[in-house]
Amino acid sequence: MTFRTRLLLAFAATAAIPLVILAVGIRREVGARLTAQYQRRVTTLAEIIAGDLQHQSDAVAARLAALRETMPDDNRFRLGAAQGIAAERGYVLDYAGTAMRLAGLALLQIQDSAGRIVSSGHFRNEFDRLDPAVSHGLATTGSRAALARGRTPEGTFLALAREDSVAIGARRFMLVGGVRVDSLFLASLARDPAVGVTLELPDTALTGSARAAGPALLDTLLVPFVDSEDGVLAARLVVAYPLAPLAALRASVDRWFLTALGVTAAAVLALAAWLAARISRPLKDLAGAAEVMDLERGDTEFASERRDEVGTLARLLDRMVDRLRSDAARLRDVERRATLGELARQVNHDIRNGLAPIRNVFRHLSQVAEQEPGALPTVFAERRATVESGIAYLEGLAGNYARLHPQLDIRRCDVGAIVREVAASVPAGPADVTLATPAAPLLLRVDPLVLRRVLENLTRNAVESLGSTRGQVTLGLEAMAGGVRLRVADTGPGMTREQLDRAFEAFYTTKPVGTGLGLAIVRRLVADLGGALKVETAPGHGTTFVIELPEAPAEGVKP
Amino acid sequence: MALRDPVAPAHAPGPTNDAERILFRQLYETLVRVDCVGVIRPGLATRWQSDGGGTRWTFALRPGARFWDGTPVDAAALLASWRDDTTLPLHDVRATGSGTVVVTLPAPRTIESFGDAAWGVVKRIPESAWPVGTGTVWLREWTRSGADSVLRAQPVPAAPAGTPVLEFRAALGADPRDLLDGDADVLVARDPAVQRYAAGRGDWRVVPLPWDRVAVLLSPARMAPGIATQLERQDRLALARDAVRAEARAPEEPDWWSAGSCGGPPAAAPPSGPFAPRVVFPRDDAVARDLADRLVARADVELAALVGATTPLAPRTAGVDSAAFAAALAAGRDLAFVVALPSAPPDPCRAAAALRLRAPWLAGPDGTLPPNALVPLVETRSSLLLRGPVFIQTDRDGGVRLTPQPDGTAR
Repeated sequence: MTFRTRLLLAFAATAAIPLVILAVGIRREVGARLTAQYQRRVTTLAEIIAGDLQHQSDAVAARLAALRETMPDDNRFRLGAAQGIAAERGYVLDYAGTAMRLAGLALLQIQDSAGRIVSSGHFRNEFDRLDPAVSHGLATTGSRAALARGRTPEGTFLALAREDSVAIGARRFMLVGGVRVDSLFLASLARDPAVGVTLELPDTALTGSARAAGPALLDTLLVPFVDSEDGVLAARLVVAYPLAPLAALRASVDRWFLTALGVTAAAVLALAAWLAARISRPLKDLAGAAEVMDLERGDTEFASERRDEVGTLARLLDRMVDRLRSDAARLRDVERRATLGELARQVNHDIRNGLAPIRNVFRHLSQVAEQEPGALPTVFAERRATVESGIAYLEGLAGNYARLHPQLDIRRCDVGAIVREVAASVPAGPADVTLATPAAPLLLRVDPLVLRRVLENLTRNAVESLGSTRGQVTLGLEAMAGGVRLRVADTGPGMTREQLDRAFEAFYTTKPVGTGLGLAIVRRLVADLGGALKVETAPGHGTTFVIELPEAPAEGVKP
Repeated sequence: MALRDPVAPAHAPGPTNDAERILFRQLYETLVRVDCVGVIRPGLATRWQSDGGGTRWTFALRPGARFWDGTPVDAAALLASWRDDTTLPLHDVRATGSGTVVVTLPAPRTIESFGDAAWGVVKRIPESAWPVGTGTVWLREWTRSGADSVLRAQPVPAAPAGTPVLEFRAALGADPRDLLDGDADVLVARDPAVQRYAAGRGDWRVVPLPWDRVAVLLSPARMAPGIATQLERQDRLALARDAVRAEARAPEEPDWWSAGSCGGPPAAAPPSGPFAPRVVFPRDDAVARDLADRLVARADVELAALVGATTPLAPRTAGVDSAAFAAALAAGRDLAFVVALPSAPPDPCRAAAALRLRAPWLAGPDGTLPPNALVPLVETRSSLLLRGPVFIQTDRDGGVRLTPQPDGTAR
């Protein structure tokens, strides 16, 4: 993640988190206030409905009161009901029906003091039935609005009922009147079609307008319910206001909040992107300057006129670059010196390598001249090739160094012969040199001088690793696909991991008289030949160098 | 003549309501008629005798008896008139001489049976919905407007002098008092309030007709063995006095349906419960409504005993139209029905057969109604309201026939 992206995210988070908290808080507050407002509305509506019920109940009481005033003046009713005149019995039975219709009631029952029905308006033929519970129950509720169940031939119905009484002569009659409470009545109480008014009785429920499904705010009124069997019970008038409009309002508020949040977030992101770009631009400029910075050129610098931290950083970087340039100059001088030293050591090393067989032959010849002068010509003839080979090696070496840049001399030659020459050049000592080469010539396009230098270096290292201990040095050769594989193995002490890691460093040696250049030269020469060098070693188990040389191309290998 | 019930030509000659009864009685004749005091009077037949213990009756037809279209009334015409009515068991009708026919029946019948309106003689013709009759007036015009209709009948050529031209106006939804205030001359009313209104006007005469209708309770639950409870007489009196807003009385005993075998086929198996807790009645029958109301009001006392209920009843009334009532009565799935039957049918066997057609579950042997299946509740009658010089003959079944005044004017 880039610095600019991090800045962008940081700015966005810094602006968005407080914004989201603000939005959530406002939404919660608005929702709570709306809910409270709706709840107050439902409560108010419930209070209005309670007032309407009481008003209707009082209206019923007023009609019963009017009837109470009228009944004693009706002579036929007096004769039939109070005096028991049979001729007026039909009139009495029909009286409540007529009075009920004139008074605009849906329930009217006239009972005697024992609760026996004398005349019933809503159920004309239920006369003589004993039903005192309703009138007595209504009497206990006083002037409160109360519900009672009326009985008709077709079934029962619910009424908002009141009770009154009238004395005619020596007899007292109870009046029970009411208006029908049905779904239309409940719907009229609701006023708002969205408001559901449900009357829950102990055994059933009556619903006003069809209430929308889903959650709703509720308020409940308790209304006395006079049951002819169970006495005075409580009916629950449930006022329900559906929450769907509130939910829609809240959803609308949410949408607007989200829209505002989205717009603000976009603006914040744009501002944050601009700020991040503005802040990161000097750093980007520094990075660009660093990218083109060259210690060799003095015309590149982190020049900045800024007075802030970035300007300070640029100036510090300039001073650092100046120090680096100075250090680089010193380093180049040291390297030049080291290179000359290394070259001198390498020349010394190579010359000594070339002189070693000559010196050995010369010593041998001197020894023969002293001890067996007669055999000198024979021995000279035998060792002449070695001397000539050494001289040729030194001449080639001199040629290479004369060019200061060795040029490979690729030609087809017998690798086995080179191996055997190197093995033959090993002086007698504790090392038993063993050859493992095929008898047939193994031809390969290679620089024979370079290959010989490689093998001589490795063979000398192998012999020297034995020290004064008797051991085995094996030079192996085998063909492989596209080249040859050479092995120089000894039975010496082997190398530790640390020794192996440093074995190819120049001037690193474990021998008291070594230059530390042998393996470094070997690695470079193998690389010049396009081959690969591997080492297999372990402490106490000797060391084996494996060289895999490919066939060089006809045009030669570029150094 | 104002009619307050629907009239249907398919019912002729057996009426199903007061309007059809007064209309059909003017248009169609039976062989004999039973007058209001039970005397057998000549109708299409002038003489009659039984020579087979009531299964073979010989009638001497009225000389010159003809249908309105001039076709003479003979044995073939009688057979064609009766053979399609399954409630009229009939073996054969043969002519034995000039103007004499012999009617052979599978079961004995009294001579009063032939005064039943169902034995009226008609001739059905494809050109007219109304059967052709033998009455003294001839139905010439029938116009309908919605539920109301107007029928006009004029005297046939052979009618006695002074036979009136009649116009029947069927006004189903009208207040009968409006008809009394209008130009009607004849009206049948069962409502005492209407009768009192007519009497109070001064220009109307109120003539009580014979007790013609008995309201009975039918309950499939009573078909179970051992349920024989009937209303006590004082309860019937109380029903007639208080519960029914019509001229009513306690039914006279014995009931006509308690007569002997009529030789009918065995009835279907009675339905088994449970029954819908309804007391069903025809919506346009005010007396049946009052009785159903009272039965429901006293369900725990009277109705429970009548239907043999062992658990508390909570029935309700159900007033339904005539088609729904016929369907419910035929199905017998309701607790009880309040049905109006003829109070004293001239042919009880025919009346029983007709009731069994309506309620097949009334399973009694030999074509009779099962003992105790019917619970008589109240007996009612109507009154004939007359204005002006109208002369009438009344029959025992409540039928009314307008007759010409001897001097040739209709009075």
